Amino acid sequence: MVGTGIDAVYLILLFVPAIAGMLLGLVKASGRIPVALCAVSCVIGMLCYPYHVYSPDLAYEIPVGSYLGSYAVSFDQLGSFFISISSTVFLMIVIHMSHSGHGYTPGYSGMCSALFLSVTLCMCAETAILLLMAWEAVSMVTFLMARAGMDEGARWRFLAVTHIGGLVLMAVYGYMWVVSGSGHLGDWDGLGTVLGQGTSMALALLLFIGFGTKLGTVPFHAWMPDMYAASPTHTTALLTTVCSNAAVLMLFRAVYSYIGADGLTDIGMVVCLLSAVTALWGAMESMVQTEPKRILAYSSMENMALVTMCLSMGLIFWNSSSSLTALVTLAGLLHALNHSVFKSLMLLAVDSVEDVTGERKIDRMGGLARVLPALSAVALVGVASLAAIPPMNGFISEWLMLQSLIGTNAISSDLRVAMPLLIAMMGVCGMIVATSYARLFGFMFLGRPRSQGAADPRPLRKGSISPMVILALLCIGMGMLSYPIMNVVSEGACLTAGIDASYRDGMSGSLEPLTLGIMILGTVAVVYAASRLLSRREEETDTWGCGGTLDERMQYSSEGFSQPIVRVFHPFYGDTSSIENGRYLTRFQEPFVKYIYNPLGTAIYRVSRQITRVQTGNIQSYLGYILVTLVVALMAVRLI
Amino acid sequence: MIAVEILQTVLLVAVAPLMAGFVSKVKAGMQNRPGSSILQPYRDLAKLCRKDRAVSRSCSWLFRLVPVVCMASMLILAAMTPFFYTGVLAPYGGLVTVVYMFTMYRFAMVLGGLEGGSTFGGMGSSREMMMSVLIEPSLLLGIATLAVLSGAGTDMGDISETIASMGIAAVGPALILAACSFMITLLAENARIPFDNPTTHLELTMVHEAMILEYSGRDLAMMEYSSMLRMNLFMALLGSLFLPWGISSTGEPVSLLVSLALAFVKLLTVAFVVALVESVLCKSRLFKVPNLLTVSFALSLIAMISLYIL
Repeated sequence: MVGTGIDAVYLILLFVPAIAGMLLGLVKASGRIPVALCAVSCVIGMLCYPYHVYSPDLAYEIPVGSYLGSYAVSFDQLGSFFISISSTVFLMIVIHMSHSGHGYTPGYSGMCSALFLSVTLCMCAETAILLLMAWEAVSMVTFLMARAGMDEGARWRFLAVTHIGGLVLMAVYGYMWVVSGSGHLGDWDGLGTVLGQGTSMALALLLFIGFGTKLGTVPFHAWMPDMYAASPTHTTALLTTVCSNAAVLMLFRAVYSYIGADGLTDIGMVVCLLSAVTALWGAMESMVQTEPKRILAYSSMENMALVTMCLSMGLIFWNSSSSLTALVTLAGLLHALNHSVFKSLMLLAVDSVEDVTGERKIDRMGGLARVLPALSAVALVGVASLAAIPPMNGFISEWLMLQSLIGTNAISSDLRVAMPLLIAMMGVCGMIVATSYARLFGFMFLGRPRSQGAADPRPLRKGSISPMVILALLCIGMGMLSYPIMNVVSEGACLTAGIDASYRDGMSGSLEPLTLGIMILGTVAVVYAASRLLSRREEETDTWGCGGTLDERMQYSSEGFSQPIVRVFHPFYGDTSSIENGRYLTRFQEPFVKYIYNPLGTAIYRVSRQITRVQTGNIQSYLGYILVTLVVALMAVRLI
Repeated sequence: MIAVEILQTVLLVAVAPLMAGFVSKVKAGMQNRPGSSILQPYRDLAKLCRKDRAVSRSCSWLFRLVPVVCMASMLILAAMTPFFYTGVLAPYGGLVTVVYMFTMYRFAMVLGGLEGGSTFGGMGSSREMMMSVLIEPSLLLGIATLAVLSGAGTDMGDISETIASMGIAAVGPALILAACSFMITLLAENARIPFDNPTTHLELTMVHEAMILEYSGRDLAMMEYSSMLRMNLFMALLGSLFLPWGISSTGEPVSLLVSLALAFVKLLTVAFVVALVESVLCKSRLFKVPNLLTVSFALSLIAMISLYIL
């Protein structure tokens, strides 16, 4: 039902260009027009939160229903803010894509529009059928957007794992649908009381697992690094930012609004533990990867684990302190949003670096900061954000997480004894990822060039830097002006989850990001100016090489850089070293693949080998099977 | 009271080289040497500021920015640290932010080490990060212990004030263990023996020195000064958070004077302990360092847990 005319105009502007772009892409009319149409939709999507402030009851239901219910959308505060940030990120990725010179096909451009459409629908769907269809579409479209040919196995693994997750989700949503008797998600509030405690717990766990397949919770992360590395960077960027945002939002709504957090403490503990393991694992693995995109894949895993950790801690806090619940859920949701900004920035920067150097390994890059200062500056903002350096946005959400962990003291439950371990986990994790990003940045941009491509890079493509600059400014801006954002997100989250408290009461310390940020920037400027006063002549020399000259291989390699940490954490890495043909090689075998996936695959293969025995290819035996089946079925029907 | 706050920040910044001089003087005394003057670090810094700089051709713009960021982050931290008065000049984020400011310093220094593609820089950066991965959890747990013990939240001044007013009641296993852990962290963070040797220039043992090897002139002065300042801040934090008794929270002249004197006594005591440790221990092998850091981690973890179970 369209409330006012202007609502209709807004919705038409939001969805119709994307639909048109998708269709044009499908008929392969042109590559440019679908991208432009997608960008139009993104711009309108950016205005979603401002529009929500103007018209809070924006909703629409398609007048024609279907057998499985009607199709309706509605925009609440949290959803519209998520759409705004995701659309901004989406727009920047699309702009970069159109300037990247990858020569994407019209089909790919059309898929971008389709992805925008499905992700936005995931965040604003009001009926279960639309939500499930949109979620399925997200998986399918990202699968199609992964490049065929490079590592064909990667995207099929992705498809398989997300569909297992999708099936789990479909079961959960379907069950809730049946119990509530309504396909409208608005009617599902407080379904947990109807479901009973046991069922609620089972459903919540299944939700975390189902979305966990998308967010890379162990052991469902096995597809992530391969898929991220093999896909075009823009697919990776869209997958890890906007799709993750949608998953986090849907997860939050399902657990906190539909089921309700009451009585889910045990599930919170299980998921919290799983997330902590995931975060550590993602951090540690990102240390040893040698391709930028794989480093960022594992880092996504780590960041999303922090998000699910926060959401699960909200369940633990629920019965003790509502202000702590408000704080920790805010930390999680804000981290998801922040992550989408800095991760897209880093992936775009990596794409540009791969483009200008033609190299894909960090061991063949280096020295780019001298030739591409602007690119290195925006990438530095990105890594600083990832490493949670103040006053960037990554710092704000980690600060909130630590605040809520320290605030755990206030809860009465014995569970608080476990919290020091989580603080320690945050510390180890934070430092390992900081190392990993220092390594990523250092080996891409600093040092001396390690290959011809890095020594003599192509010029940066025109226009590709501007989206990165905007994202870098967003990283700083969302950090320094975080209070307004925190207020909006927390208000929306409290409305959705029914929390009646302010996150500020949960904070046991004060934070003034704006003052802090100004102070940091100001002090840096003052120190710089002061040091200029001392400035004397500057002599240009070679890097000190103990009296000799250094060639490009005589510098630290990325594997050497991570070596000390690998040695310290040796039992976890499962690394084996060997000397082959005069080269010292270290191999890493993921224990999850080695001990879970490989045996599982072998077992399934063995079982299917046994099953093939009945496939004799002989028509008599098939007729025999049919007869037996028929008799058994008839008997079963009769007996029941 | 802003004047007092500015004074304590300036004092923290100003006495940092003095403390470094004091440590080396004590060490020299232990070795039966007269040693250089206690003011030698000031002279060294002044000399470095007068000298020309040599910058590698392979270095980028970041190379020139790193010393500035290091220096700036330490100056901000000096403004965030209570020394002899519980009010601080920059109460903008509490203890958690302090930890992240140290991370900022380290991140900048590590990137600086990777500049120029010197093998030493890479080696230093890599080793520094390995140690900091193990240091960071003890640091976070240490401050969390303080926050929980005092029940005053994470703002520096509040913690200091509350623990000081708790008197002897605050002295329990939690505070003692956390202080021990912080002491080990202090040695590790500031590249002291047994973790690193600040006076070495032997390739195989360098960590901190390796990272700043490419710096010269005023850049080196800033790197050196900021690392002295870091040492001083850690010692001041140990004094004002873990042993805060006597710190002034009212700002009356008499209490301020007493507090100032006590603060210097604490600072000199900690510096003396550092010098003592450096004199009686030798630098441990790089891959033995994690064992010691794990001890520090375990201490802080037990400190935190003891708050709940005792």
